Parts: sequence; structure tokens; C-alpha cells
Amino acid sequence: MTVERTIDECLRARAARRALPYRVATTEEVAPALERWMGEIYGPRARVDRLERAPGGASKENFFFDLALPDGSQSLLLRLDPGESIVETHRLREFQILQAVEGALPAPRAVAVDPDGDRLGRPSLVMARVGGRPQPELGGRPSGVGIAYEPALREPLAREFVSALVGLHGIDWRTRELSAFDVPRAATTEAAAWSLAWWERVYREDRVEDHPVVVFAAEWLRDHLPPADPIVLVHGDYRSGNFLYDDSGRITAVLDWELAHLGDPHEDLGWVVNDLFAVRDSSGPRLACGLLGRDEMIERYEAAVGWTIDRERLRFYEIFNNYKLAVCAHATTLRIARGKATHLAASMSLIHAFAHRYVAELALALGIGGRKP
Amino acid sequence: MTPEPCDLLRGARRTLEEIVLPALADRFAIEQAKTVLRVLAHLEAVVDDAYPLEWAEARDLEAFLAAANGNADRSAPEPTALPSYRQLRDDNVRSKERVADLVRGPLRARNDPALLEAFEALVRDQLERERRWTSPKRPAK
Repeated sequence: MTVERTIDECLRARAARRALPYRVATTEEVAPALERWMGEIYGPRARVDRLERAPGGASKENFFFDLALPDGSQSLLLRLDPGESIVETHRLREFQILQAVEGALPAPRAVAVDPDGDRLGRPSLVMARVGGRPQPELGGRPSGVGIAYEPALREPLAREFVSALVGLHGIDWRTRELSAFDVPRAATTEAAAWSLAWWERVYREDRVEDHPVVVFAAEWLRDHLPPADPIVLVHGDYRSGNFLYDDSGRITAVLDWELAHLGDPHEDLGWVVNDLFAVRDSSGPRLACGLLGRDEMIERYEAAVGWTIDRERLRFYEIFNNYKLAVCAHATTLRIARGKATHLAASMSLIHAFAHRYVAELALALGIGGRKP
Repeated sequence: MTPEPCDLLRGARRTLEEIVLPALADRFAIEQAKTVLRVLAHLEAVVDDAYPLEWAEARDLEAFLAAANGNADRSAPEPTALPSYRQLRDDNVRSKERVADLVRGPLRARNDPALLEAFEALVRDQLERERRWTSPKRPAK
């Protein structure tokens, strides 16, 4: 099986970087190069102000900054590749997908991209900073999965959440500039096979030790690849915590587009209803992404998109998604925490300590033991 | 022997929590310091279980691999001296590679119910150990 060209490209680049030293960038180092870059786009009077490392996130080195221009100021976010991160992704893909979804659903505006690292020494992307919060205030605790939203905002957020996903899947991607993406053939198993190949390769390159459940899952998935039809833009990490919202329950931006690809819409829906992202309502039922019961989430998606979810394909992608989570949490986090190529070494080792939950969920789904984590 | 691992971890955790963290102003640094605190608390809660859990893993892997090779009744000899933790870990990593080979080969063929049953028992026990290792009770303040 094969992986997409640009996925292969960034995994090869990562393999080459593993032999090189890495040092966390300081704001003093980033600022002048960033200002030169912005100056080429906005003119020589562009100034970078208030550059600071952003909290939150588990992947790229993020920096907030203000871009001062003669006619006003913009709040922007710089995403800079670390040596390695929990997901190895391509900045040009992220840039193109942000441009592709503009106008179809709320998302940050893409500003600039440097996929080769010519500007700041490593690949990077600049996008607009959007107002809103990713979750209720948690007293300074780090954000993450399993978010319980404010009860009064659940219904409006649920409407917007489903609507944005349907909007994404309804984009006519053939009319967009997506040269960094390969297109799987509709009505074949190519989309599922490419996705599996991507994460099997990550597992192969990152694992510190084998896990019998993860290996078993890959074999099961290979034996059950479903065809995909239609082919749509898939977000790849569409869940609670990956959108911003305001006090009225309006989603101001869907975030974290780096895993986007062309594939099967069941993949996103399987991610949305993953029990690892669910929380228990105070009255009892578990809420997918903290918003709706699992069945209601699926029914609302079906009603909005106008076709029926194939439960077998959904099951395949739920298992695939747990496999993907298990690969990231069991293999990649430990690999990079042991190396010296991340600005988030403590976080990576801690996420690895939670890998058991993902693996146990995977074992349960495959019927090979385990119990609810 | 003293200090015990928990003594060292507790001291580091309290110093970070009570002295270093309040002195930080950078939001990213504060977030990372809190993450380090969580790591230390986790380690403090599980460190005493590291050897017995790894030891149990080694016995289960030996038993499964023996069963897979048709030697289910031949129990492994008890070691004359306790292996180091590092040696246990390295041996277990190698054993898991062999288990993975079995999963990709004979187990995938699904024509050996006894092997599948032994595999499920191995998985069940490993997941239970991992649950104990990764979801411990947090230490008291």
C-alpha cells in the first residue's frame, strides 16, 4: 500500500531530521525573520509586535503576534514545525485546506506558508487568530479531550458543529487548489488503504516496542477495507476541543486542520462519535463530543447531509480512528519524548501514559479483551 | 535504601509547585511547569509497581510464546538471580516483537482457536497491567 506524496515527503524529511540537533526557538530568534517575511507580503512598513509563545496545543510550536500595518493591526498565529511532533504533517496541505474551506465554514484565514523552512529554518504557516474559547474555563488546567460544554450552549453548539461538518463534506473540492493532496478513486478501497498505510508507516517508524493489540488491529483493518463514495474533504480531527466558540454558542472557527485529506466522510463521523471524546451528561447519557447522544449525532448528520450512514463503514472507521489514536499515543509520543526534538517533552510522556485508554478501547472494539478504560 | 524513589520525586514536585511555579510569568512556561508536575505526581504514584508489573509481563509473554511453539506444559525455569529492570524491559521488548510476528502470521490465519484464546488471555492481562500502570491513585498532597 502507498501513502500520499506529501505525507511521504514529510515522513522522509522527519527521518532525515532525526539525525540532526534540535533547539526550541526563542522569540528573539523568530521575530526578525518573521518580520522580514511579513514585510515581503505586506510591504516594508509591516512590524511584528508582541510575539509570544502560545499556550495550548500538542503538536507545533505556536506563537501569537500582532502584525502592525500602516492601516491597522492584525492578530496572527505562527505555526512552526518542531523537530518532531505527535503528528507529522505538511504545512502546504494545511495552508491549502484552510484556503479551500474559506467561506464554507468558520475557520482561520490562511495568511502565508513556507513549506520548505526557508524563512524560519523549519516549515511554518501563518494564519489569522480568531476570537473564542475551546472549552469552558478549567482553572488553568490544560485543554484536552472529553470536554463538558456549558449546558445552555450545548444545543446551539451542536447545531453549528453538525452544520460545519456537513458544510465541509459538501465542498466541491475539485474547484479548489489542492495540489498537495492526492485524490483516491471513488467507489474503491483506495481512500481507506491510503489512510491505513499512512498510520501503519508511522507505527513502523515510531514504535519503541510492539503492542499486540495495535498489530492485531492493523491486520483486521487490512482485511476489512471499505470502498469510499463520495470522496470528500475529511478534517481528520473533528471533535470537541478543536473548535472555538463564543458566549452565544456560535462556533467562531474550526481548528487543527493538519490531518485533513480527501477520503470517506464516515471517517470524520467515526471520529465525532468516538467514545473517548464523549462525556457523561449530569442526567446520565454519554454525549458525543460533549454535545449530543451518539445516535442523535448520527441522525442529525444524516438529516443535514441527505444520505444514510453505512453502519459497517462507520464501524470500520471507528476502529481505524482508535488505531490512529493508539499509534500516536503509544508509538509517536514515546519516540519523540525519548528524543530531543520537541518543545513538549513532558506532555508527550504524559500523553503516552494515557495510551492505554486508546489501546483498551481498540481491543474492546475488536473483541479481543480489555474493558472500558 | 533511602531516599526511596518517592522521596526524591515528592521533594522535586513540592519545590516546583511551591517555589518555581509561582515565580513564573510566561504563560507557556507555566503550562509546561504544570505538565511536569502532573508527570512527577504520576511517577510518584506508580514507581513502586514498575518492577512487579514488568516481571509479571515477562512471565505472561514467556507462557504465550511457549504455548505458540507447542511447549505449553514446559514452565520456564526460575532465574537464579533477579534480572535488572533494564534487562527485564529489553527482554520484554524482544518478546513483544515475536508476539507481533505471530499476530501477522499464524494468528492472522485464524485457524488455531487455542492460539487465539491464548492471545486474548495475553491481551487481557497486559491491558489490566497497563491500566494499573497508567491510571494510578494520585499521591496525597
